[in-house]
Amino acid sequence: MLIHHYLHQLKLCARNRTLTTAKSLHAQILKIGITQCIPLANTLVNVYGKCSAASHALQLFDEMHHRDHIAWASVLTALNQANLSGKTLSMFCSSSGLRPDDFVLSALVKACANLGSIKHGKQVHCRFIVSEYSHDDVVKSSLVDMYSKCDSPDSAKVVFDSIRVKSTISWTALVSGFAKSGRKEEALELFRNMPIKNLYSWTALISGFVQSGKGLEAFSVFTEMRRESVHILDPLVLSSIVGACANMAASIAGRQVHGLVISLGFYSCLFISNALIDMYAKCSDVIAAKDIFSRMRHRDVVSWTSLIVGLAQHGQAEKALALYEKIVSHGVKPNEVTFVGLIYACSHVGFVAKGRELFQSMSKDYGIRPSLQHYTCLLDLLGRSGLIDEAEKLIRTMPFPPDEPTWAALLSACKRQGKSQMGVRFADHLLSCFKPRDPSTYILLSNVYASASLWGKVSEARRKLGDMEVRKDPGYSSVEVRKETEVFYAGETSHPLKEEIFGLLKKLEEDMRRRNGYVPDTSWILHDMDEQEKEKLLFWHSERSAVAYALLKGVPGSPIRIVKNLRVCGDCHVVMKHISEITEREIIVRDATRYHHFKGGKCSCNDFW
Amino acid sequence: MAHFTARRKLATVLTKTLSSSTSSCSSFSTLSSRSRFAVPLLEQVSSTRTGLGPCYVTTRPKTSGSGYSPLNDPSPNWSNRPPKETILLDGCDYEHWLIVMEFTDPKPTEDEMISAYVKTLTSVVGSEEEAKKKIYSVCTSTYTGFGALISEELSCKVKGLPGVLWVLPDSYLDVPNKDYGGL
Repeated sequence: MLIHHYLHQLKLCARNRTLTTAKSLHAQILKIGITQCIPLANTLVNVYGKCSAASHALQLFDEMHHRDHIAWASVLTALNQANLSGKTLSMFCSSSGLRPDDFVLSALVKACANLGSIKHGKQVHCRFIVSEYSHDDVVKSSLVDMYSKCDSPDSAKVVFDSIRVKSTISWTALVSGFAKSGRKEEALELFRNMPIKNLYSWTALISGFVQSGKGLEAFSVFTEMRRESVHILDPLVLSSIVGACANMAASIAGRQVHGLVISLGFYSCLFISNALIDMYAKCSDVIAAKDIFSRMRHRDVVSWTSLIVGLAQHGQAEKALALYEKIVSHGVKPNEVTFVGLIYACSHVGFVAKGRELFQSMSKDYGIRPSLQHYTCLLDLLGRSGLIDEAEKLIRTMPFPPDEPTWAALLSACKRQGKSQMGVRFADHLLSCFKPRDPSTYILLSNVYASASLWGKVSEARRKLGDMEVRKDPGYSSVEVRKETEVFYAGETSHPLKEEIFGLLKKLEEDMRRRNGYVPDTSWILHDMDEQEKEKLLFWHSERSAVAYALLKGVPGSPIRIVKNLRVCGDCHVVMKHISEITEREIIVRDATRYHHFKGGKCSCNDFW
Repeated sequence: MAHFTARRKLATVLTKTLSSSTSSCSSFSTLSSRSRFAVPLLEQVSSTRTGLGPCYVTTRPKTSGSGYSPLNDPSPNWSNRPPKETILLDGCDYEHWLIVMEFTDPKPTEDEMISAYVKTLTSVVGSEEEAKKKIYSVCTSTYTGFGALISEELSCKVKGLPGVLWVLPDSYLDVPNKDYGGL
């Protein structure tokens, strides 16, 4: 009777997740002396697991004289729930001869899924097949989920097909696996064939697409979901879509989703607010990012970091650093991304000492190991401040092999500081180690060799660029004007408004020449052609057509936002500054490496990109 | 023997912490009250590792191996082609605008909020009569704001007005019925 009473009470604790009650019940059970009653002990382990007290569950388990399958299943599940899946596996491995039943197998498979370890997953799968439970649909469902999480949707499909009665959960797991691997047709086909779809299924498909970079597909599925009036009770799908907008720098879409978030009532949701901050920053609207941040009632390290990084990327370094002081005073622990943003911010304003200090503080005070990104930012800082020797020492001693952008940053610094011999050395090294993929790297190489009068190498660099450009896509810029997105490619546009664009650009150029003494800088064109041809090529760089279009068609006075796939060339950079001054408009260009805020004739990057 | 019906719920291992506490909605009949979801999602939010939701997982992993870095890939992810198709949600035509306003404590009454909405819009459209005609939806609970049928130029003017928090392109809340929501 007593045992039944306790069993009942404990089950209530499990359902309601009341840890304190569970503990007091445990105390009573101890005093009465029935802790070794197997059903009671098993239930207690299970309750502790559900109340996220894995250590209690573990301890109790250790004390048990006799552990049956239920005890094992309970403790392993408890470990999984506490994110200690590594321990789940290691405990099982040392379980000396336990033949797992379906519950234990389930817990093991979930552990492998949590760890993303397909190696272990396959081993468990093997045990499952040879066991007497090999027809169990629930374990099979877990396997589908595990293979999906480990990026093996084909294996997941094989298991899935063997399930007799396929639940919505297993369908969803399979769809998720294909979506995350970017196999959109298969994911969509599976999704259409699902007998019952719920919010989770839609969410799985959408966030899978977002994760694999298929933002447009994610959006069209989202639109469909809205048309089917699926109730958005859980806002995860919204934050996924916001993430898609951030990835695509689609501010038109982003603002719409923001509106939806508000009207559905999720604007106080922490992770959605974090996503919105990041989205606005990526869409070049730092003011909106700041607005969201300042109105949040609760913030976590991600909120602070998103804003810091946003400010840093948009050249507002002092504000980013000021925010960092606030984080520290609020007792929030910064993470590695925070430091990337901070060191990046320092590099923009040449705060060398502060940058070095942050780099040290990262490992000393917070135990964060610097990554390649941190080193690259620090190198950038040193390079910009003329400390090339120190930069070289860093690049040779850092624990990661430097990649193309890292060397390019150093080369850029050499060129700027006029250290041509050093630059040539780096250039040679770059070429011998890599086949550079960014055309601007070739331009940089060519200029470095030219400054040392190594004409043979200059021609070689130009030739390599020429070979590359034949295969590579031309430069293009996209601009959002009102509710349309227009894309302009380099070269003379065939846009319906071509005449107006040409007229406006010509007029602006005349103004520039007259007022500011502008002369096109043709050194940015490496091809062999005469000066006039080069000027024409510069004239039709895609970002200029984009600006002209925005000036003609956009709301007067509003900021112009352009996204370019390549680095802005030096001449366009100068032109943008002039245009921003002449037209008194703010122009924000997001290029392949950073954001440029052109206002009143100046750029936020301080002419170093 | 103890029952382990919980085991049947596959998703129990994958927990997701919802840190939001959303206000209850009273203005829309289509929405039920949002409660913290008991059944965790199949998507595992990798929040324990990187502190960020799934939307932050970079698509091109870098050498450092960390889940997210906003500086990882500042260039937009266009899958090798720019998004020529403009992405628009149903009902978004850049003529309907959701204007969200901010009220300080003590919170005004519903009527006071609504008259604030009308007053705000009046200052850009010219007359109160016109403003009342242009307002197509109103909410004072889930959020404090209204929907206005105005041009994009006018919407930009509204942005700078006192008490205005956001001016965003509105879209259908109830898509099949082409309803922007609100009252």
